[in-house]
Amino acid sequence: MPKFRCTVAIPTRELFHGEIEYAQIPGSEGDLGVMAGHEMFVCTNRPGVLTLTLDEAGKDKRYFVTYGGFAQVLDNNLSVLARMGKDVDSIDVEELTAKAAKLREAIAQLEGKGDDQSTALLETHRTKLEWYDLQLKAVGAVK
Amino acid sequence: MPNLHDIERRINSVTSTKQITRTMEMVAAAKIRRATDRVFNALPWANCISDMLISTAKYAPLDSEPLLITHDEVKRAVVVVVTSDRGLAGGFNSNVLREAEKLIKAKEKQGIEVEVIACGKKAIGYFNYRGVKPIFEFRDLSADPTYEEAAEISAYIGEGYNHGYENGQIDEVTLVFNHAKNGAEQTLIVQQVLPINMMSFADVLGLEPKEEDVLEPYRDGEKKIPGDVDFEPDAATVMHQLMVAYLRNTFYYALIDSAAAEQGARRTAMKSATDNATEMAETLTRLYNRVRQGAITTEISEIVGGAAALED
Repeated sequence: MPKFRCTVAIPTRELFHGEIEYAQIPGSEGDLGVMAGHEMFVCTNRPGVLTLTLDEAGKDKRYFVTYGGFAQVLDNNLSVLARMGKDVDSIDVEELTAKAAKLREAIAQLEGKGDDQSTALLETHRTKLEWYDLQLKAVGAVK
Repeated sequence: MPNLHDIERRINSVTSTKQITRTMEMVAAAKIRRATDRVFNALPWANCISDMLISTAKYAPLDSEPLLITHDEVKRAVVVVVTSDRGLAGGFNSNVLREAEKLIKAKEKQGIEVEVIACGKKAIGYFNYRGVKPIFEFRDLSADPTYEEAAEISAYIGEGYNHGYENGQIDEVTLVFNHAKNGAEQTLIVQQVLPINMMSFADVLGLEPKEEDVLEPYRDGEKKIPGDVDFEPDAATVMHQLMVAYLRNTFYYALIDSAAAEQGARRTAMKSATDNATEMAETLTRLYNRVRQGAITTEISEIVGGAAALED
């Protein structure tokens, strides 16, 4: 099978750039499988695990946990842009569990305040907590 | 004529100042690398999102997109001012603040109500002192800006808790920040963020195009996209979410760009401070030697004079 180029990026850095065989994307309306020569599309993604298959035999796989964002195929190029993303192999479960617990405390403290800046901060904290929980779930699913 | 002790004290003081400025110059030089790396790392996402937006814009119904609609009358504007938390960076902060104040005054003259979002302690201090209370204040983040900070700003002005741009409560958003053109040079950018103008990200900041920019022929209209592009769930939703992401990214990029510019400005400022201190120490040493020589000469001539008087 011919390969095609794929870029996975988050706002702060590029997570993956290279030739792949197959990609399974967590689209907002269900998972999407992309191979070379796929028709052009743009879709929004749901939080989930993005799987990239690098070889034909399907043995060399890379897993990325992604939160939101978009995917686009244009001219045999796949770009997956996630709001937040991480290579599943690099997730440290213990550290993440501790961080999530700390965040829950911070959320509980902020909940009473009603000003604009606190509301914005609360929103950010909630998204972050959701992201941590997603990572922990992804580790369990992949490993 | 100043006495020797005074000059010596001044030389010591200038030398120790020079030591501090030289250290600060070296620290800034080391930080520039990290800051520019961060800007460089953010580029793939920034370029991809603006390319995606432009290619989607060809198919999506643009007239229904709230972030693209220009409001007929501008009543309330927001100016986002990005400065640093620390000083000693030459005209870095004062350039931004002067420009922002000029902009605010010009808008107020037109009868527009202006709100300020201040990023960096320098902007917070400046506006509070002048009796302008910023609606959002971000401190201690100028050296290491986070994407969350950008998301908060963008959430307030874009989607905004019933008083953002989408609800027609804010009519215009302008961003004032320093762009790190290179390690030593900064350019002041006044960018209209909302309503979004459909310029590619690279064009706004004058960035070099990527080596393999596969989307460029499509953007320029040289190549036509064969067939249709599928959207999931639909073009309007995708377009809206892309707009929101683009908006967040605009702020994030401004914050990290300003952080890189800050280190560049500080290095330049500290380098010239070190050079000035070196020159001053040299001048003072020369004066010190002259005064010391003068004192010795006076002493000798007094001795010789005294001896001559005794001989007589």
